[in-house]
Amino acid sequence: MKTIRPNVPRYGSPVTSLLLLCLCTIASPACAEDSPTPGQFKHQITGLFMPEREQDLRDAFKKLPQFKLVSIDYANAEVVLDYEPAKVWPGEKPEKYVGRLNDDLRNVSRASFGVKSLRTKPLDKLKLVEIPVVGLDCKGCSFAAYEMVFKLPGVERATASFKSGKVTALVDPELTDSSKLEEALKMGGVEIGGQPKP
Amino acid sequence: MCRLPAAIGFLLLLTMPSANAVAQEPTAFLSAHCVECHNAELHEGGLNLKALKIELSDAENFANWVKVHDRIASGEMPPKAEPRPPVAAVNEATAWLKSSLIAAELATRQAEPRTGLRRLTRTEYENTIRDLFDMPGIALRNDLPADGSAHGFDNNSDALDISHVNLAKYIAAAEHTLNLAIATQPRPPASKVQRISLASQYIIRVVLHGGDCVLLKNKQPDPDFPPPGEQAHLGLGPHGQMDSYSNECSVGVFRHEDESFNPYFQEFATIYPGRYRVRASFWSFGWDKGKVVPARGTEAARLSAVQLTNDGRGGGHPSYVLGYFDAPPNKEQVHEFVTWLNAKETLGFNAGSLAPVVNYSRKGRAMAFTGPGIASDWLDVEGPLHEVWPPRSHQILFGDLPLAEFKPDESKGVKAPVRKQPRQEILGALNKVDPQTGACWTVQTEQPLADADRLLQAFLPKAFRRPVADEVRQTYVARVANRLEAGDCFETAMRWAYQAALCSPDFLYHVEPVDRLDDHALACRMSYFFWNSMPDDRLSELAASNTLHQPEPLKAEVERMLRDPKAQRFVDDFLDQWLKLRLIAANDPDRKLYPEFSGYLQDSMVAETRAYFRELLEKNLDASFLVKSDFAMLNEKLAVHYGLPDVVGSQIRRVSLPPGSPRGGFLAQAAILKITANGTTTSPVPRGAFVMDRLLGSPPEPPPANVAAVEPDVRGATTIREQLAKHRDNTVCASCHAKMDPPGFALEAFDVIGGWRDRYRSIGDGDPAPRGQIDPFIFIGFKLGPRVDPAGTLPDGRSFSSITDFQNLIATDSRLLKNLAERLSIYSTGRPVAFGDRDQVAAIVTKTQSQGGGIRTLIHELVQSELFNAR
Repeated sequence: MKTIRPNVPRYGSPVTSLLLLCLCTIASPACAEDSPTPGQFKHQITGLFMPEREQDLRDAFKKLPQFKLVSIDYANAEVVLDYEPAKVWPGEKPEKYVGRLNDDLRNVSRASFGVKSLRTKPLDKLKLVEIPVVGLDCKGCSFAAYEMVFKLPGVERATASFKSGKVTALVDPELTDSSKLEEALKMGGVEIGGQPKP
Repeated sequence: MCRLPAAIGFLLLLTMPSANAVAQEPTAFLSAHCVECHNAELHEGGLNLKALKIELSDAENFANWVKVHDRIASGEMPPKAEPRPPVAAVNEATAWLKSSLIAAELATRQAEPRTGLRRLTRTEYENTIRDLFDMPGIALRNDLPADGSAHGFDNNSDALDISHVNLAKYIAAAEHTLNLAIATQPRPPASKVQRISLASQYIIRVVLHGGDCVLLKNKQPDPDFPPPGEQAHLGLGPHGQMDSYSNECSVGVFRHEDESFNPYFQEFATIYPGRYRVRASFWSFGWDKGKVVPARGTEAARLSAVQLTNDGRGGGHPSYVLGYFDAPPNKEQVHEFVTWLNAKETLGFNAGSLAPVVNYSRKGRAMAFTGPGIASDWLDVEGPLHEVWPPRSHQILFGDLPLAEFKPDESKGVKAPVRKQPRQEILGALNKVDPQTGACWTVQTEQPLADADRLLQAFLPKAFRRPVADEVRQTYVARVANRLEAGDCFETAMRWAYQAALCSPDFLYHVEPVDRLDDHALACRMSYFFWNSMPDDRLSELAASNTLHQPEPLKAEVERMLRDPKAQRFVDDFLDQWLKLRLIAANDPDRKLYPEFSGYLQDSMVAETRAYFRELLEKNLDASFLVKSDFAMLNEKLAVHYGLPDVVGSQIRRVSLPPGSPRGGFLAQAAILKITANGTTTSPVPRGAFVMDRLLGSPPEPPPANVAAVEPDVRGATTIREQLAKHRDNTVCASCHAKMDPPGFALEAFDVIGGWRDRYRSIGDGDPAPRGQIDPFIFIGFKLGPRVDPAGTLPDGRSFSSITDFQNLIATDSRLLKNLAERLSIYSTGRPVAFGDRDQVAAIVTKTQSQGGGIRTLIHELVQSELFNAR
């Protein structure tokens, strides 16, 4: 299995993008390959904010027959895909593959799923934050809460579910903390508090 | 005794018809009974007979002498307190005045025809284009300048002036018409069926989040989109991404349309104007804090055609109602109809029968709300529907000439027709333009001038509503020839000719012979009377065979035309003007005093009056039904408003009234009662004046300029009757108010919106008001003030104590039928009823009465009369 790391974050500034690109180029041997060989690739998935979304992800990949979904790791928001980049995007530069995959997945999922480069920061350097929330048991509302948190700098992974009554986030403590997340949620109309359900 | 003025004596010099030679000039009569008050010193009623000259060729002077005649003839003058003149003297005086006035009128009339040259009103123009081109919904009227009004109607020649503004608008209207009429593709636009959920619109999504609407699945709250409660739904975008709105749910609506909430089915917006089939599924339900429960009854959903402006963003776009549709309790009903839709039109929805409830700002939102809702399952739009291609509108212009691709290489020196490519201009609309090939298609001919002549020979008589002389047609053919020489293609050259024809006086004006109408003019007079539009083929054929004027064919045609659905145009247009229905929305009732008023109620009011007149026509009922009836035309909304039970649904139908009910006739119809009120209060004066003028044909004199109007007291301290009593102390006012006030007093039994009342509503002093028939979801803030007194005394001394008493008194008044005859005459001929026409009107009325007095009979007699058949 290979990892393809080069990626230009969709909403990143040009400078940030360039830095990330350089970092990924150094860190990943795979991206040094001019023409990746057919095989399996692991990617981080955005939009996988509650367990029910696994089925949505499978449905989305059914609309992309050029990719075979091998496995979903919900806890880490990662998937393993089997595909041949050179066949899927003939003539495309390898460093553009993740971006192209991201576009394809967004197109078939109303932009609710996306692909980004794998996490680079070790897990022990990240902190899990859990925020109790109150709201309607509604996938759209949960997604809204997820987006409020996930788009913040320093958030590597997030989940949101009003059914379970909590928003979780794996954050880089150097960049953000629980209070910033709560502030973002309140700004978005989310009521903080209540008792999380098991 | 005052001396008579020299002017009176001058009357002797007027030429009198020999038939009236026995009548003597009324010098002695006027001297004995009139001049004592109507002189320079006393100037009673603003009339000084000593100074009134005899210049009957002058319109104002003529009108004054007509009043003198009428006052004496009716017995109103001399006043009751004065000695009564002998009957013979009255007859002699009025006969003399009458013959003099008629003689003067005939002398004036010789100089010009009775009905002046008049152009089409904008309503007639639109209907004529619709019928001529078989485009039954093309919208032109509102782009034309508003017409004036004279003698109560806008189709009177005195009101129909024309200016360069009109002409510019006619040119634009003709161009628009031809753009829609001419086929520009070899095949019709693809007819598609598009299913639309109300939830597809942005504003519905907004209110879904706030709890004024809910998503329903299998007639229960959608578990995937729970009703908002303590928390509202978060962001619209994420819900759209999660597909929350399009999972085949129905939308349950609690909120009535308002300034910031205009639901549209905006995923569809017309690209290709034409006929569309609309199907929609509605049902009503009860809602109890998050649960669907049995509905309180059948509700009414309104669909309207909405003319989206610009790119369609926002709400409040111009619209017109397509209809109200039943939403039965907890079980869907599918409604289907075909309607014409113009470019950029979509369909609007309103929970018409619901009270203006909002949840989004209340604690607990939908989860705390208990009340009625209307569910919209879906709406299908199918079209455009074309039975034939090219469409009839194209065939009228180009017959069977083939459409072929215009190839510049093969048409050297010929300019291609200008085409505006259709496109979807409305944001959010999913219906798209058909695939474009880029080819330009147009009509082809091998012999352009011969075909032009042939096509114009068929078109011009239809458009001009009569035979067209060869030399007239040749001027249009010459126009085509000029354009062809200038390098235009055949289609473009013909468009010049057609546009010229549609802007010509022959099309824009009612062209009638000077004296008696020929059969073509008669056909036009009939078609514009009953259909507000041009004659159809059958009528034109009868005119061409010169048999239309014969009594039997004429009678048969009247029957056929009244049975035709287009006769509804007559009912609508005539009532709009006769009974002022056009003014129904002139004011909005005060929300504190009349919180139950709604658009649905207002639309139902107008529908009642129209349906009632239609019923009188169809059943040939007599004129007493104008004011008194044993049935009414009602839907549920009106029945509840009137306090009548057992009427369910939005459709107007005939309902028998319980004994003693005042409803039914025009006097007690909510539309009339609203039109004659100002939105806040009622006054017997305008209501009485309306009855005198519009129903009895005896309009009161306008109020003196220096007398202040009576302002009703909404604080509830004094009644309008008390204020009017003071007003009548002024002798200048007393004589007119004695005639005008009694009908108004009787109508005091009805409030501003036509509801029954025993006590006036008040926003100041008063007692708490019971809810009565008012929707329990409407807040009541008004109180009950002084009691209503609907009693009065007619000028002839007869008293009444209630509206039903009053109805009984005037139901037998012969003026009802006479006035209707006059109104119909004015409307159908485009000219006022002249003094000399009175005998003819009387003859029509007499003939009608001898056959039972039915209104349909009256129309037959009118059409058969010399009055109708003469210009």
